[in-house]
Amino acid sequence: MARHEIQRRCENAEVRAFAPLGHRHPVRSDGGEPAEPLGTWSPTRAAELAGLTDCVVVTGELILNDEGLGARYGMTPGEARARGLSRFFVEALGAELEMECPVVWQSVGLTDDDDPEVSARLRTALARRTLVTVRDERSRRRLERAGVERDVVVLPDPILLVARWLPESVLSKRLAYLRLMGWYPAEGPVLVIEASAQLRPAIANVASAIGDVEGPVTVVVAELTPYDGTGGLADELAAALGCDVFRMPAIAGSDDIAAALGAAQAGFIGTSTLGATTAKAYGRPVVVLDAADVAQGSLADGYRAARAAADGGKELAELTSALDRQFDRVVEISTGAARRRPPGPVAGDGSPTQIEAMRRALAHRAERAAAERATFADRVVDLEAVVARLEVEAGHLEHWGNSQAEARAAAEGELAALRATRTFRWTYAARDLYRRLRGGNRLGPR
Amino acid sequence: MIAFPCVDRPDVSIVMVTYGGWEWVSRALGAIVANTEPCYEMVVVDNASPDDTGDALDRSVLGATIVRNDRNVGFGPGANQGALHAVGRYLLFLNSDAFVEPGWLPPLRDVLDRDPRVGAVAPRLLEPDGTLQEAGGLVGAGGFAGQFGMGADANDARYRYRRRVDFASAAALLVRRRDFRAVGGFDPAYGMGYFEDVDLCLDLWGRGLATVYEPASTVVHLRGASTTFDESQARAARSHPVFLRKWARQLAMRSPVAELERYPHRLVASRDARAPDRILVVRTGRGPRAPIDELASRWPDALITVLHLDDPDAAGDGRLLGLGVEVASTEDGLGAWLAERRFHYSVVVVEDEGAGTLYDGMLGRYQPQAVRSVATPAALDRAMAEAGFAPPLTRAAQPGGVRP
Repeated sequence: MARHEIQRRCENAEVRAFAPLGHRHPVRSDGGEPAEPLGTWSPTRAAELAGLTDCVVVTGELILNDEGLGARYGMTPGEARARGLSRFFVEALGAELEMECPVVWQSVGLTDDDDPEVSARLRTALARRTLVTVRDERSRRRLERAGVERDVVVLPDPILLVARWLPESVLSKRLAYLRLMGWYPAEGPVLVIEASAQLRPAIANVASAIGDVEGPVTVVVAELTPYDGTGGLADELAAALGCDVFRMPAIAGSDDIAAALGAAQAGFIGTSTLGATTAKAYGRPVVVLDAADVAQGSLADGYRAARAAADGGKELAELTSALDRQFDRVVEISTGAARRRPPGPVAGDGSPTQIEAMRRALAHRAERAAAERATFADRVVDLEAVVARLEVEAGHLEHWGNSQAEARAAAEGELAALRATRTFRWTYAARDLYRRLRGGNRLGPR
Repeated sequence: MIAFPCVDRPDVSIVMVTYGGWEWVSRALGAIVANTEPCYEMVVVDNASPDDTGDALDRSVLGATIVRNDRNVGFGPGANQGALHAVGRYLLFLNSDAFVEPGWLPPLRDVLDRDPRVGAVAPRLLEPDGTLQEAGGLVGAGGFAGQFGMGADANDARYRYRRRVDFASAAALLVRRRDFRAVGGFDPAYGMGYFEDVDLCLDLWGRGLATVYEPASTVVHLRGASTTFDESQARAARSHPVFLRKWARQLAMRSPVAELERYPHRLVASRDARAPDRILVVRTGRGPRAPIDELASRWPDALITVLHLDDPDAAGDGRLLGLGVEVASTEDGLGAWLAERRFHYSVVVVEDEGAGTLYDGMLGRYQPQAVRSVATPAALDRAMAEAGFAPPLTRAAQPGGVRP
């Protein structure tokens, strides 16, 4: 989403995505567009990255200690520390390089891990950071506890802008697919519940909250963050509700999750900030669980309040504007840094999107012209057939005309011969009298 | 036992949907193992096979992701399901009765690797008896969607050059995973099957991504191993109205692919609909030769046809075919050949400048719209500009020198 929003504002910009292992660790969720590997942190590597770019944007949910981050990639703690993976997110390029190549924290999500060493690193690194935004209060409090002394703005994850990226045609196609597979109900209001460890103890409360709702609601259980599959939790929830629930597979892609949440009129209950933000993007009621919500009653109240409040309109518009202003600022920072660089190769005139749009329009026009020529060729073939037929008829007519002319010439010759006979001449008076008796004019001269 | 290699970072995810026919499934899987370098992962989605194919997959296949559905969801949804399990950059959809030949994969990957404007690429599909089954597909007015070249000699030069096509059958189709996702995958509206591959390719075209037929890759396809003929016909009949409704506007501008005896130009018009910039080079054996290689690299999207009036056997020029150039000859004379391509070309180059006037009558009758040129570079540049071709690619901009 961040890449999409930056590219939308600055079409000539080259936006490259990096991740700790990138394409060296392809995963389903990369959607076939794996990031480039960050490699091992070192001053040389940082300088290399600074040379490639005008601005570094750090975004997403971060794990800020190397061991925790390395565990995600199956690394040993020693290997993870040696690679310094978390340094790319915290220290980023280092103080000196960051003066020339600004680093921005964009709607970063932090865990509650209050590691003192990490806290010290955050205080130092974020003091110099050009822009710092986090995606929720929990993350802001984490920085507060770490002693970070600077303004930190809470802005939702850019997934809030998902409707700009995922066209309605694709969303409806995926929803139809989910329904065909039996993972989503065909009709009726849907409540999506996230399968997560935190929710397990609260199943009875969730069931009670659902039971509180007027009208039928169908529950869909989805795994938004790595968990244990939806099976066990779904079974328990079904037992608590006294009816079956739908289960989305763990392999469902981000567009499937967006389709499921987008169509969930009864909203979303879960712990995933991304899930909640996506549901909010589509104006759905949202309850984000934390430990306090496990208490009896609070979940039902919270859900009732969320449903009552969910008109989507005003709050969504305000949050969208805030995110837009943030991305405008990111692009402003990037272009400012780019202007300060020594002149380099000049990008071509015209934005890539405009050029591509023109190319496609020209291609379509050329295809249309070729198709029109083919249709015209049909007409020409038809007309040629007509012409050929007419030529044959004309030939017949000419032949008939010729034969008629020949016959006439023969008849005229015969008549002339007859007139030249003595019988014809001697019978002139009798023929003339006969003619006058019949009422005709006199015969012509003999 | 069929053992797939363990690949750390698969670049290609091969997705196969099965519904019975273990005899063919095992043969298809075995062909992949035997004829594919280890750059891939294998995903098999079994649609509740009515025989023991599902159990045989569990029992006899190692190193693949096996997904077993409890009901038959159809080809498209099953393939979508397989795609959800994929981690490769590329998805290769392969039918359970399609047997890949040695060296089949690199030519397909090359096309996608080198040209970001190509969204899907398909191999030459052969019948088990070696005749041609499909050299890409074409669509026509009225929702016609057919396989080009069915029943022909697979080695005929007419089917041996790389070209842009309307669609290609998902019996063997390589797409980028990100592009497949961007269009939402196979449309479930087509139910159990038929037309979903046509739909996918037209969706990709709608986003400016071409489908390419690459004959350097070969796959033998049995057809109908998992359905009866009657069921196939019934499915096609159900899916056709869905297809027609969705693509009516785009198909309306196409010629019908019918009455070809009366309108022979309709076949090439449909075949080449995706390559509206077309150059005909008439080679008589005299005069300077047109620089075909340079034409091909500077206008990679153009269809180039070299018609040999000098040497009927030259139609098998493998080098030019490998560049994606159509190489043709005719025993019926230039007039008859041109009549089958009426109004088809944008530029006609007659290499023998002196002989050009000999052909004026025929060219004037059958290609009056074409810009005429001789084979000198300057004349060719002027001709392309006059014909409205996009400015030629510079060397830096050429997509790896491979023409789609």
